Amino acid sequence: MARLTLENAWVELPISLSRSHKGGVSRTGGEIDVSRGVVTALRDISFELRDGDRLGLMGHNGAGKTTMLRLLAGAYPPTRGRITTIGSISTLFNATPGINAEGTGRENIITCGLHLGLSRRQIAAKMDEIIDFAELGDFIDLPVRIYSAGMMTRLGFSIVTAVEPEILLLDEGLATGDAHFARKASEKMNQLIASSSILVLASHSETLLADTCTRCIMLEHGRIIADGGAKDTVETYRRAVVEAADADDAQALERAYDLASDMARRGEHPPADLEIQGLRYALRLVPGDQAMTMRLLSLMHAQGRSLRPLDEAELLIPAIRKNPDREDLLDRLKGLLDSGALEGHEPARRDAAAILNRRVQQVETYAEPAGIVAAAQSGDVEGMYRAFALSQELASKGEAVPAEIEELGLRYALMIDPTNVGMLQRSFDLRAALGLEADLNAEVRLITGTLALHPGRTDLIDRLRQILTLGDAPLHPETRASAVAVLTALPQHDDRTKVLSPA
Amino acid sequence: MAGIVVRAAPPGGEPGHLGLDFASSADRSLISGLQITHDFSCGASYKLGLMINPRSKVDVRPSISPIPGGPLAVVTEDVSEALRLAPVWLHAGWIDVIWRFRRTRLGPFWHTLGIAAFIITMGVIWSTILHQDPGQYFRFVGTGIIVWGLIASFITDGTSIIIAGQSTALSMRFPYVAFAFAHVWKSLLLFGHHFVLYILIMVGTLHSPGWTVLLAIPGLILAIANGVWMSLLSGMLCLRRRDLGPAIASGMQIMMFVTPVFWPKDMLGPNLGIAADLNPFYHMVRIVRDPLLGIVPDPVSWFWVLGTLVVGLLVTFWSYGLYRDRMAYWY
Repeated sequence: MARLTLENAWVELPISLSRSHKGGVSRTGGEIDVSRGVVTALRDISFELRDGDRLGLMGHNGAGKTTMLRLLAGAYPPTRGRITTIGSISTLFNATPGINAEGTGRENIITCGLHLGLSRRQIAAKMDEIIDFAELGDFIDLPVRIYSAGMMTRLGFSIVTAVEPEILLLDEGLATGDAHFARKASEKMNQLIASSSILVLASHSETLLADTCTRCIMLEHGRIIADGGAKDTVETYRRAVVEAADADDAQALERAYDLASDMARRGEHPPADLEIQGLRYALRLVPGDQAMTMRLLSLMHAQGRSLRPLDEAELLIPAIRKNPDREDLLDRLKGLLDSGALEGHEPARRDAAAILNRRVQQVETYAEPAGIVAAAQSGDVEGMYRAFALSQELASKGEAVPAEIEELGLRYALMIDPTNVGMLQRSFDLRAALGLEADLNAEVRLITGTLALHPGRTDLIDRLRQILTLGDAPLHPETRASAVAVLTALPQHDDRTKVLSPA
Repeated sequence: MAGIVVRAAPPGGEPGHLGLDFASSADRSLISGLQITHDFSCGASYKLGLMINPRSKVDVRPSISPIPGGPLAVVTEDVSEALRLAPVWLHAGWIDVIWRFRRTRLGPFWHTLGIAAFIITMGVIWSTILHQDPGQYFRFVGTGIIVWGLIASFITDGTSIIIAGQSTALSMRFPYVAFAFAHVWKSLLLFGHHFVLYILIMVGTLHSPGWTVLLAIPGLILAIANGVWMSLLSGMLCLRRRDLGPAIASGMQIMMFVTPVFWPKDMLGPNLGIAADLNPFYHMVRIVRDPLLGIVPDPVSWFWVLGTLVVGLLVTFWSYGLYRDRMAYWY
């Protein structure tokens, strides 16, 4: 015969505000009424719960879920209206009543049990059951202050459910435990529900609510905005999330992502509008991810919705930066820029223009071998790559590769594999033939590489010593270090080493 | 309401099984346990024992929030609820003492040791300064400080009792009066530890207070009764205005020097003597301390303390009745 009746209950929290505060409604939390100095945390709530009712409370942070639980627990007396309770209540919020960090788990079971209305004899009878359920092992005789958050949840849940209350109020209680305990906890809850008590569960997890509850209430700014079957309300909730996310609310975007990935994990297809919002959130975390960008664009297309040009540009720009060769994306961006839709959206328009300009330049520059050579000689990596690609192409066709282009292409290849002796040798020979100054770093790498294969090449050892005596300036410190290392590793009986170290 | 039916074979159940039918879950909650014993001597007969849950009667009573009625109804409801919860606060106050001193070797006797050091220092120095007989002054100061410690702790430590009860008060309907009960009980437990010191002083100075000492018992009871409202009021005030905690602590420190604890009241002389006469703390200390020293206190002191109790209880419970339903919002 447990029952919970709320009649026009209000909860208004007193606040002290600076006079300049305007009041009104923010996205989270209740309404701030400056003239009366209160925040309306819950507004005009009426409903009745009877045996077997399992109520789920949903809503974003600050919508009033915890306040509602405190109201139902009798901790917050309603400031207007009233609440009538029949039946024993047990609660698991962020803290268990009467818990003390200094006490051991066992002592806290006694204190909390007493607070929750058990007699000492009942507690003694249930002690083993509680300890078994919490699975805390030897920790049960250690002070609670050393417990982890998960262990606290285990202890708290075990105590409050051992009371066998007629009315059980839980606040995200199952979220903190690990999977194993969460499963045990939900079994225990099902037992409690089966014994026809009232359950009220506040949670962000729509799955948990849909599975556990027979009725769901959705709160926003302290009002009930949806009340009905668990599935319907979950649907309403999803719509509300999508709507808020569409209005660029950061929290709603994240929530949409959670909802969509929750559904995907369960093997359900999230509705397109939810998936779109989830993808928008994901793309904020991983800008430019090609698969997600394409999925989002195709979903939008399927929905018959067009992206705002700015949003589309913001999707395209990071995607192109990651994959500069995607002609389709470049064309789309060009179309956007040419349509003038980006006028006035400064960073996006400038970025798009810069990307397209570079594209145009590249196309012009690399059209002719002369352009490639010029670009590569000025140190442009892209140009070197083009030279490499061109020499590969010519070689594969069996045509002669101009020495200039081959040398520039080798610069690129040596960037990727700097110690390849064959390439170093070829590059060295080509530079000599072209009358270019020898690259000392490349030469040192060539010599050290060759010496590793042929330690007896005294001519190379002499050359290396000679390069080292030229001083620090032309050599990269790393190259120098490796050269010195090679020289010192040479066999000591070779009297030539004494040239450098007279001592 | 008696909807419990014991069946020999439930529908669909196997014959030979016992079943219980409940008309409603309230009936189910009446049963806290079921015992079935098999009596081998009589063959296949079973003894069925139901354990009736003693609390279920109370649970069926609807609890309405906010409590209907005026301040008086609120106070009556909460005080009776707090008395019903006696096992809770008796345990809470006791385990609090244990927990507070858990990681110390001497436990609560650290307090006692501190007071002992204080008494010895004061006894030696002040008996010289004030030209008092050392033995008599030791007894006077020692007993005075122990009694003062009890009375002052109602107020100074009372400042935090409701604030500290946050996790309890915000997760269930809990009568705040019970916090005061728990605190007074805890202070009394600590006083018990300090009382060892009193006995040591009496034995050490070879002094017997005689039968007069029994007068200390009603004195102590009156002081404790005062402690309930003092700690409740100080807890409520400090919950509402957090600045009051430190203010009260320093106020009580000054009070300790103003109240004749370290020095006999006569030393104030005829002009200032009235300051002590009008000090309720003086009378509260006196009705406990004087019998412990073997002196019969002036009946005026009794009336003073009784008056303080009545006025204090009225003021505290009246404001409690007015603000009880707002207090959860003050956290």
